[in-house]
Amino acid sequence: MMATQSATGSRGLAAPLAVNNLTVAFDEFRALDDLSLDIPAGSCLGLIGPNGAGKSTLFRAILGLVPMAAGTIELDGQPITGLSTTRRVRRGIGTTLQSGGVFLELTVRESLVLAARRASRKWDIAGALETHQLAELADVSVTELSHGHQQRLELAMAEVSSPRLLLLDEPVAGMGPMETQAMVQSIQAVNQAGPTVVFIDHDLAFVRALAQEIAVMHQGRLITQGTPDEISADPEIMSIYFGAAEGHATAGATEAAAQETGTPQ
Amino acid sequence: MSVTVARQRQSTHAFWRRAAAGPSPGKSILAVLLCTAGMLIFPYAVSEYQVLVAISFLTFAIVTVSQVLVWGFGGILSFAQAAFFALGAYGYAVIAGNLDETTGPVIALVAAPLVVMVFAGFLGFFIFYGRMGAFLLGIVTLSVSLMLGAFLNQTGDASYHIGKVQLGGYNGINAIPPLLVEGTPASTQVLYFLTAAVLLAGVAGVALFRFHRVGVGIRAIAENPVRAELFGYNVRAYRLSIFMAGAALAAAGGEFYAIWGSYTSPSLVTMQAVTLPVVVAAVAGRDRPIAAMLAALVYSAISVNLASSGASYALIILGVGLVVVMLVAPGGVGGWVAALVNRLVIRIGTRSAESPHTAASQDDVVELGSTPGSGA
Amino acid sequence: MSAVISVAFQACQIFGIFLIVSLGLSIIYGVLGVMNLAHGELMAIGAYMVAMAVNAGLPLVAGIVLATVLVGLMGLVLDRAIMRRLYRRPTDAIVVTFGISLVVTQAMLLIFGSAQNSLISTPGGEVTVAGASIPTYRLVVTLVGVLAAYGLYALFQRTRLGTNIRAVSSDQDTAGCFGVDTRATFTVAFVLGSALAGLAGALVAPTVSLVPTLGQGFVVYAFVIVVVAGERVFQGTVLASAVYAVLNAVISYQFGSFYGLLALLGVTLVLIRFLPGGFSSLLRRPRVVAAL
Repeated sequence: MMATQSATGSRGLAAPLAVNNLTVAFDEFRALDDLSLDIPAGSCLGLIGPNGAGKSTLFRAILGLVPMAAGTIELDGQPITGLSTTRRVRRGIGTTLQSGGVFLELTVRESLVLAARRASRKWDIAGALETHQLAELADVSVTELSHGHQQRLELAMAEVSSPRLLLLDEPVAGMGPMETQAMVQSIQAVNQAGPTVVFIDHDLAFVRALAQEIAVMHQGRLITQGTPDEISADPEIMSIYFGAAEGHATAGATEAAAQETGTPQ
Repeated sequence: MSVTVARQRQSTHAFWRRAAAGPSPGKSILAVLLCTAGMLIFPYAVSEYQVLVAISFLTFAIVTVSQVLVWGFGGILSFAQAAFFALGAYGYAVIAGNLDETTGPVIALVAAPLVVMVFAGFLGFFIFYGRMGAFLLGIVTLSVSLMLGAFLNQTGDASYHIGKVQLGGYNGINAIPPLLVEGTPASTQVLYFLTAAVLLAGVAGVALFRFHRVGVGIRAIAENPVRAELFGYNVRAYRLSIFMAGAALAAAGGEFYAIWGSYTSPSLVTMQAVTLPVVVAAVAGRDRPIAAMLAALVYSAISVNLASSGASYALIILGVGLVVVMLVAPGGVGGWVAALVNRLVIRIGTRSAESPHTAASQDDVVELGSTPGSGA
Repeated sequence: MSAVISVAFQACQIFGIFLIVSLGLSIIYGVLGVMNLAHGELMAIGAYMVAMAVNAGLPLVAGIVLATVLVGLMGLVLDRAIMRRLYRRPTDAIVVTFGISLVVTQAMLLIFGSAQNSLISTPGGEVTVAGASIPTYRLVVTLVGVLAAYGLYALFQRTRLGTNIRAVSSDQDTAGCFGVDTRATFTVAFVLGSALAGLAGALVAPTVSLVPTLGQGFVVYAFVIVVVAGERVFQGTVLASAVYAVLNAVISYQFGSFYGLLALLGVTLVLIRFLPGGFSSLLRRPRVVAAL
């Protein structure tokens, strides 16, 4: 999967990402091993794989938080390999983290003002609050929010920072089925209005519901890439995650649960 | 009907809870106005000598407010604020001493903080671009301040001079040119109001800065610089800027001190002088500029009174007082008082809302279907 | 040449003192997260106690032991009375330790006066090395410093108490979940740190003029050493103490405190720039925690 002309330039608001032969190593341990990945502008890609597969490391490499032993990364056709984190972020990469992604000292409103930076006048902060159902909590200190609310806030902050590529690291971790379903719709709305989205999660029903494409990683390598249907029909993938026999049954059960508890919007 | 009353009571509770909780620009402005009123009245309520002494308190309050800016908002544990204060005083003395007596002081008044700010920028460059942790930052600023004191102490020889002005070693610089107003040295009253104006402007600026977009950025950087960087903030540039702003404010305090006393000396950068702004800010609540200002004024008043009445025991009482205050009011006195005031406000606010005649008013009826008050 | 030898041994003595003071400060900072602004005062108390003991007729060694124990006990009292309420409040602890240092300094001034007390003489005579006569005491202090460091190392690595201290330093909450009595560990850490300060002060007493502020000069260096040592506390502290002791002996003593502090600052800034992990990063390539 070499980088080809599929990095055909951005859709303005969304940028394509090309990862070419990326290797990230810590002493002898290869967290990422000659990984190549192509993400077209505006798409929504789910990244799955067992713990230790290198998913978060890939995000960190894209953001410039870990040194790369080999390979290049291109955003919107431009290499970003040598750039500092701040520069890369300013080129339009937004991210949410597994933990520690919000600022407890600020209020909800202040968090959005922070994320919008100079565009904080342009961005309709009030509108963003409404869209993400945070309007009533606008002046509440973030430290008082529930975990689910904090994650929603983090997504709102990421959106308001006007990224062209959005990296979401386990955006629904710890959320119940209703909240998860609401997040699917929020993220889809964000993706349709703007950036390319790449997200990591372990909740396979969530991944199936949200992703247009899924990439599977294992031990620092990309195993396969395909549509959600293709992936969940592949027994080898299922056996990487679960045991072979349980694979189908479990995936089916979580999916059914999600369909039953879907909330009207 | 009782459900409606209950709902209305809930939303009133929520309203008062929300009004009481958390800082807001309105509350800060109110507090500053109250302090302004107090400072305006003060000279007319006391003797001229007391006004004179009070001016030095005001200068210490300015430094303490600068400490809050740099530490409480910026997250930088700086022990250098007293050093910047001293540099402001020395800077004023040197500049005014080298220029003519009418325009010199005015130029010095403007120039001294700028010069100190540039120096702070230079120092800050090494500190912030060297990626130092908070503890080391504290130590480095502490060392720099002590160094300044050590240096100034040994400048007694006549060869240590800047232009016409001798640095004077441990005696410092005496006979600093006064600020002239229409040809005569400024009176105590004028100097008092001038210093108070600078202090109030500073404290209002710092208090309101918290809510400004840049202030929000600084606070986020103070809490989690790596995360702030992931939102595109240039952490070092922000830290350097606030460090420089804090230095300029502290220097402003210093120059008024020099004008007030007509002298300056290395005693401004002893170990004790250097740790004092940090300690007072911590006692007040390190991110509460108005509380810090008041705490600085109170501390100055207490220590001067103790010094005059029972010199030997003064500092012991002070030390004990500091320990006791911190044990009783965790996080600082400011927060403790604020919590108290908040509870009072809630109690008074909800009690007046519960009086029978308000429930009858049509405007107060809350629809059944609406969500109950979701305040904090 | 003899001057160089003399300075070298002076550096050794200072190294010994720095080591003890810094390790004490390191333990308190590591476990409680507190920047102990009263550390210098604890040193001073140790020095005064030794002076009093010797002037009362006790032999120096007994005086030093006594001073160490008494300062340790003081640390216990301080911990029980005050510090234990500040376990998770490092900011407030700064104020409190400052208050304590204020009280202690003033109390000592009141009790002993600011006039320098009779210096207790440096015992043990002198030894001639390459033409320079070195007070034996310098060698003794160096030795004590190294032994103390080694003893602490053994304590930390080989005893349960030491393991507890390291666990609590690293992650308080998790250590508690595993059954470590964190409060007791805090107390032990503070007492140990205080006793070490007292020991350093007691050792230093015969060589400096006895004023209540005698700890200050050492403590500023100690703070720097604690940070610059890095993750590997013992090895890092040993290296850092050595470097700064040489600095102190060569520059402060020859050129005065201003240049000494200037050198301290300059070296520290350079170190941070090129060795962000402190001296520890020189020792071994850092083990990297698993990627995710």
